Amino acid sequence: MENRPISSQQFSALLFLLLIGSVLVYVPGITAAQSAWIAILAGAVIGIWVLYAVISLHEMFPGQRITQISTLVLGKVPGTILNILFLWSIFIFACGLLYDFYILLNFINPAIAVEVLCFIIILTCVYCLYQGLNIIGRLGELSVWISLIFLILGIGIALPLADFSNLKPLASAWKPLAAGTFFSADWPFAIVVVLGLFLPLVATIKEHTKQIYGWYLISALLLAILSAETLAILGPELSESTRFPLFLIYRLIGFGEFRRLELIFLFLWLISGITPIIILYQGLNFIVQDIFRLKDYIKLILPLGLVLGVFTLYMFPSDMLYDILENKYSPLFTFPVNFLYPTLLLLAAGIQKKRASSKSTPGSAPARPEKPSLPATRPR
Amino acid sequence: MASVLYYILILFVLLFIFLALIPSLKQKAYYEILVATCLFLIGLSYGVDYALQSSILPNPNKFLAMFKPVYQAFSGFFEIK
Repeated sequence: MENRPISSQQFSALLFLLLIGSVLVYVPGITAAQSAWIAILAGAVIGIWVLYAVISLHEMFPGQRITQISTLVLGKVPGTILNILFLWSIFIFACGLLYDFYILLNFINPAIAVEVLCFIIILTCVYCLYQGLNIIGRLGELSVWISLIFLILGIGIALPLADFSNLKPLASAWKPLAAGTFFSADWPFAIVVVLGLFLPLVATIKEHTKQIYGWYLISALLLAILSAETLAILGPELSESTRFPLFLIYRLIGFGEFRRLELIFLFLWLISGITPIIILYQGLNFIVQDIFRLKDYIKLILPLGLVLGVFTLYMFPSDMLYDILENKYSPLFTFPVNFLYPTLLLLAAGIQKKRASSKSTPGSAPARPEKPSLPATRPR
Repeated sequence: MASVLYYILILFVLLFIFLALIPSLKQKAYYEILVATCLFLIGLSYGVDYALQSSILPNPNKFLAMFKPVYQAFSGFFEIK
């Protein structure tokens, strides 16, 4: 238990919160307009391959993180280069999530400066990480059901506002749909690659693989339903142009005198918003630890937190620049890295395993004639 | 409001000294101190640059901006509005 602080149940909860929390602030695959929900389902298929590759790699190399497998399978130099690309990709995701989260908090409470909000989030994450990995698992386990209830409740009470004619025509053009699939596969689905860093810490993963895939599919389905509902209520144009479409929907909900129901859902945003940041932040700690071959990651928590916070402020000074860089340009880098990184490793590991087994199996190669053994006592 | 970052940076320096530097020195983990300090100095220098609004240091978002022509070709092909 000491070596494996996260249970498979907690791991599944973290996977759910990683996927849901990453996209609560916008509609993924919105380039597909009214067909964004179809793009999400298609993107989930690509993401499931990434999850499969990561789990398969863990089964081939139990107890090793994906970054350690990389140098083991590909060699020190190519493996480290891939790890650096992976580090940058996860860093961009973490910056994007952090930015989204503090802008949302600033949207709710404009009196507090974004710099302060940014570092309040960072310090919360720092505190969580200093408590240990077990705490991250417990946080996931504790908040997954509450988040799920809030999510289903939100979908249910917003349903009367939906106008499903906004979802027509269905998949009218394949090109925007393909682009939407690409963008939704990038964020949130391909991000599951980061879980390859946590798998060695999970107990009894082999027996609970189905549970992990199950939670992945639940998340994908919920995201598709949530997106379809958002599009049905706001329409594709407003869904794209609004900064926080789901927040706007919860603002529109009300029963008679009861208004401002979005504040009830603040819990959902706070928990599911901060969990993916903690996961990615911890992922960055692991990657840097493996790149520099450090014994411990604890000393990296504060410096990486500072770098993450400052770089987010530095890289994205405005919403417009953020939209261009994070939502348009960065998927062209992050998706190939997050998709190809586990795929390449799985291929290389498969080839390596095949070669090793063909060498060791006597039936695969013509057997050498055995040397006649020497008699126990030589005749003189 | 960027000047508020000075206080945050001071807080981080203190936290880094007490939570990372002193325990590492006691453990004589010099390589870990070196890596952590380098990372911390990168963060600190970018933080000061941000607070001063001077933009002396290279902006990491230039790396993302490199993908502009790729995105233009991509959006042109996939008819993204």
